[in-house]
Amino acid sequence: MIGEKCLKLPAAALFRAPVVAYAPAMDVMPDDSALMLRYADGDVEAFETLYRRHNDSLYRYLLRLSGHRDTAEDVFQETWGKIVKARSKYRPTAKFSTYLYRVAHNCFIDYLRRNKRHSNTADVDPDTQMGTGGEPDAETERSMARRRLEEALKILPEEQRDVFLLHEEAGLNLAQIAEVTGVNRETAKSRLRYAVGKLKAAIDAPQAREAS
Amino acid sequence: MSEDRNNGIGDSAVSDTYRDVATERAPASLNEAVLRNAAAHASKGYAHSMLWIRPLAYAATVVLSLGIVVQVVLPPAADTELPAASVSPAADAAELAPDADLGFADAGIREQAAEDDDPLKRLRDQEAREESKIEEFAEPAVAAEIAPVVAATEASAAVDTGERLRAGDPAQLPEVLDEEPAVAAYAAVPPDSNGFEAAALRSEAGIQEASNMAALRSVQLEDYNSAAALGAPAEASVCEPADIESPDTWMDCIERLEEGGQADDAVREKTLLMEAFPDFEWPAE
Repeated sequence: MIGEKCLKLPAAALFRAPVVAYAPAMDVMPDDSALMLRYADGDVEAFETLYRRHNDSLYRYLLRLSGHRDTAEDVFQETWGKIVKARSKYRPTAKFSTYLYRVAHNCFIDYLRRNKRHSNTADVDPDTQMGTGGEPDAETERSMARRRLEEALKILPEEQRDVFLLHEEAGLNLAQIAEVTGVNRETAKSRLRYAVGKLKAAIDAPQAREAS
Repeated sequence: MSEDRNNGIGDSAVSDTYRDVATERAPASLNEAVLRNAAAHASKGYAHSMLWIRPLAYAATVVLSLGIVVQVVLPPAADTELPAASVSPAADAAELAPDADLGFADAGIREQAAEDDDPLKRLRDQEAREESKIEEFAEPAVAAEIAPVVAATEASAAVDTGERLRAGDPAQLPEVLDEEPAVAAYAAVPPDSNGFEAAALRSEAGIQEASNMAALRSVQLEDYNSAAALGAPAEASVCEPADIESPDTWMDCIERLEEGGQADDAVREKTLLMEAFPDFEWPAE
């Protein structure tokens, strides 16, 4: 039976390398910490790879956190500058994204201290976010939901907004958020719960009004 | 994130809406500035490290090469000079007994050694001498050098002594026994003595060996005397062992020899009888 199956198979299939579920593929992307260590050894390409992985999410985090494009760009540049300068002292004791967002968080706090006239009035234009198309009513509804979320995000307390953005943009869990923001895990959990609850209420507000 | 959602913290609707909203990307100018800065720092760091790494590597190479050349080309001068000075008998004699005339010390070398008042050199000489002493004690070559001479001398002396004893010449026994310590002492003296103290040590060893041999020979003499007292020199006697058990029977044997015409044997038997029984009263002829 087995011999017949083997005879029916093409020769290439017989010599195909076995696929082991737990074996790592050869084209696995290198770890962030490994890339950072390679950059510390002078490998600029490793840094570019690392940067491309995190630049957009970090930029969005700072943009939503500050609400100002210029502030976001300044803090963004300062954050990466500190990462570059501290490359030789970097030790992979924690996830690289935790390290990166902790630096960014501290840079933003320092920026706020230096520029006390910083206001929370956002200059992010929600109209620049285009939809993906679809039914006019559904698209209109989604667009309105996005607008309401933007508005709700702006009026969130800064600590809650920070925790929510770290959760969504950086993909950090509660322990990592607590480490970045310098609070205990329960405080981070409480802040995230409040933030998500307020945003959900903002998105669902018209439906709730209709239902009532 | 999924763990937090499972705990009821996250909300998929909020997250999806946020994903729809948050589509901004970092400006290209910002990316370029950051990457340029990173590349500049990386190359600068590399250049800084190479500034001192290369000279250090060159210096280390030169130093190691010089060290290897010195080790290979130049002889270890300090190791050869010190033992040579230490084994000089003149220096040893001048050092140990400056007023004593030991006979083998060269006068010129001795004077030079006496005039040399450099304390550093004296200290080095003393250390080297102690090292050579330790080496002489520890080195089995000295024992190997003496052992064949002692063994050969002892063997020849033992053969000689045995022959003399077997010959039954008691008159030579004191000479034989007196020779043994002298032979042993002679054998104990090395053929080429390089050090006063080494010679003294060897002499002590020789004296000890000679005293041991004298004790051995005295035991042999006692055995000979006891054998003579019992009338044991049967090898030299032509009489029957039963005849030499008492003076009277021995005398009868001698008379038989005289009657048989063996005058020489009779004379020798008389000598042996006198030695074995000195108190025997000879019959009047």
